[in-house]
Amino acid sequence: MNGRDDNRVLSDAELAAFMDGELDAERRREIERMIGADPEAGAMLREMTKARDALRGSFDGLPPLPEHLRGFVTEVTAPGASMPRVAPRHPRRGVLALAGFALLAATFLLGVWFGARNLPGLPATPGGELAQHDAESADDWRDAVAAYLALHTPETFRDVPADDALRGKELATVGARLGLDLAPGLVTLPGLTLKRSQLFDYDGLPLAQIAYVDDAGEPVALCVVKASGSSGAKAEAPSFEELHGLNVYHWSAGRHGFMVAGRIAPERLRAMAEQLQARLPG
Amino acid sequence: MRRHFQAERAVLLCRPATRMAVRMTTTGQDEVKARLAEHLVLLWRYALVLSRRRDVAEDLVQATCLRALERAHLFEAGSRLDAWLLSILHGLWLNELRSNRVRQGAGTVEAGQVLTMDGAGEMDVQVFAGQVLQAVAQLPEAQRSAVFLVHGEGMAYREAAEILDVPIGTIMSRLAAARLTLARRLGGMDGEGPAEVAQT
Repeated sequence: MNGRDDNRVLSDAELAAFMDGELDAERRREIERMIGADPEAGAMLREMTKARDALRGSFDGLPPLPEHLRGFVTEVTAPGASMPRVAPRHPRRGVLALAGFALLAATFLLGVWFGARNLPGLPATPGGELAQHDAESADDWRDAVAAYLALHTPETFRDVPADDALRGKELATVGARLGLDLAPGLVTLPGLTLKRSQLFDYDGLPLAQIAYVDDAGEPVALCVVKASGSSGAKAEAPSFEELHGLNVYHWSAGRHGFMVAGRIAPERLRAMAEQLQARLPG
Repeated sequence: MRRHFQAERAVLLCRPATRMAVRMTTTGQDEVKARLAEHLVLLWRYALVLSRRRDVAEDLVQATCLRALERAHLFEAGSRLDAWLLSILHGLWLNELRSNRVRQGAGTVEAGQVLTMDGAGEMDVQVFAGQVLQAVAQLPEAQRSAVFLVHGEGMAYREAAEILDVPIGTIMSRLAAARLTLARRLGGMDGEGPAEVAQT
């Protein structure tokens, strides 16, 4: 510490605040008097003032805003924009992960909302497949869910301990919220280990992810969303699509939309979808 | 491992996002959407000052814009949008720093500790052209933030303190320390008392 601090007369911080006009009038007058009587404080003030003046405008020398960022903001703030998905420039970096997640979560749940509006059982789509009449909304829903699931790796569930009691409890919670019987025996699948069941919520519209891993540790997920309104879907065979590098089968039953996804062979996934479709009547 | 964290984080983020997705009616929300672009240069510069890397700054700005849109319903129409956006960016940056340290096996740390320990990160030297900016880039992160907000953007100490979530006295001392260091690095002080002060 310097002598001025020792004497409790004038600290560097206070001198900085004085320069910046951040002190009240009384303290300011006191400091003016001190500076007049203290050459060292006066010298300090001049040096700090020089430094401050050098800073003025210096940040204009930073690189200009990249045009693509401006374009990005134009896109996400356009009237009617629904938080479009962004192609990450640096997909493995954490900060972008934040962006991605905010976006994915948004898109995912917005998608759920749109998807749910078109779920079988709602007046808008009596008896149809999930958002069949509105391919774009349905695609949004599945696309967003798949984008989130695509983030899963074998490491995601690696450290989840085997705990049948806990798995059963999770399934009971999720099933109760979805209005589905999800007894462990109904969702257990050959060659797959049940890892975790989680519930998401969109203004009372429940959505679940039931995660498995296969023998190689590869994650596979069953996602279920439940719409409000009456039931009335007609059963159709699960449909295949490929989204975000994942194989996906999706179908509807009653008031529920189902989707299974993973980086596993389509045939295995279809078998899984068909088994679940038979066991979970919606 | 990193993707593991990402996945967990996505789960955590799902809930708040649900509230954002369809409630587009408040005036605060409209204001965020309408005026976000006006503050892009500000966000870009602050992201550069914090991260000292162009690629990280790009991601940080994108993340900030998305988070702002998510939380736009929480923005009070007519209040300082620039400060609100900057505080979002700063929060994202701190979270990222924390996660990095966790990923590096350092365990969880307090935000203040992260701030003071920063400096070992890789710096994109081309970002900071010119003597003054280079000197700024070498300041500890906490001082860079304060210098940018107060001297770069002309914010009051109180406003900077709110954005950085620290007491005003902390802003004062960070600015004083930064200016003393800068004065020395820029050749303004040659062996006089103040130079010794700067090293204490």
